Amino acid sequence: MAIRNENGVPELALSNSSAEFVDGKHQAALDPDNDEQLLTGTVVYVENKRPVGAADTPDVTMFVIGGETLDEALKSIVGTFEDYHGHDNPSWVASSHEDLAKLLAEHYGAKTKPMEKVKR
Amino acid sequence: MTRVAIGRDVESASLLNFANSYAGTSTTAPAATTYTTDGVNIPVNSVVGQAIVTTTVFGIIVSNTAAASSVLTIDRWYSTTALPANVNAAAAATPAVGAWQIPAGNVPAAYIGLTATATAAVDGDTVLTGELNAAGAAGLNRQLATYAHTAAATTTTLTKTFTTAAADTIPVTIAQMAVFQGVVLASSRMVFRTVLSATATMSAVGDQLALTHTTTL
Repeated sequence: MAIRNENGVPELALSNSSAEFVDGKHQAALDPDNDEQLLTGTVVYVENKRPVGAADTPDVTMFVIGGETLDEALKSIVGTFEDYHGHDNPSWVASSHEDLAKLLAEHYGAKTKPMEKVKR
Repeated sequence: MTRVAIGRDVESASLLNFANSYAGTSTTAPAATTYTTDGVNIPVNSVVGQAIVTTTVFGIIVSNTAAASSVLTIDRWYSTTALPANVNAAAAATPAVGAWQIPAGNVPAAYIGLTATATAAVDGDTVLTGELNAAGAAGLNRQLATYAHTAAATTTTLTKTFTTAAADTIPVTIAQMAVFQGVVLASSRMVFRTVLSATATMSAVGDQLALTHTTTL
């Protein structure tokens, strides 16, 4: 279970260098004078070990990122997956955004999977 | 969570209204919030919530006239490849005349707005009273949420992690949220309105708040 602040925002389990990278991207994306883009439209797949539906239904939670920075997207995914979608940490994640996939995998201690290898 | 009256209309049209579609070619120059169908007569307000799709952009219809050439009023123009992340983002360019379509269904609702007003929602609500809308690059204004769904599950979520910016008026205690069909405060339709189970006070630049709306299908 992720540690949360008083407003429900989860704390990410990242190395110092990864945390600095995320914060740098976050500040740049919030700066109206910076060209850093938000992750709008990025697709993320997270392995879901909770049994859902028919036995042969792929257990994957799909996220489509809204108007979020890298930091906000990570926190939205981690918090929502834990509260509403999965029970256990995933063993793999996939994303159309390479940094998001790598950082999510680091938080969970999981592997990254190429998007085209995700079975849905 | 209150699914307001308009929300039931959006859900009904999204899931079950397949035959209500139109197409044509316009010759009247479109405007920032209107589009003339030129030769297509659409029953009054029968395509509200649907998209008018041109070759370059789309608009979310908020009303339509019934006439030999119906006029559609939209909230604004959106680019499919560059959806507005928040209310601060400029509208897409007004399209030129040409081919258009109104596909059946309704545009999904995925924008979350916040307010410090704690007054409970009622069924007929159409706006989020006191919705935060600071000028400039504010972080607590209406934002596009992150969608999530697990295959075959009954729950779908919309989540946004808000980050307070220098442009926001703080301190502010967030008490309520709402989900909208578009990014325009004056005209995009409200679908859900929820008084938060616990308020959240944002008092410094950088303070964050994570909110999730859930829908059980």
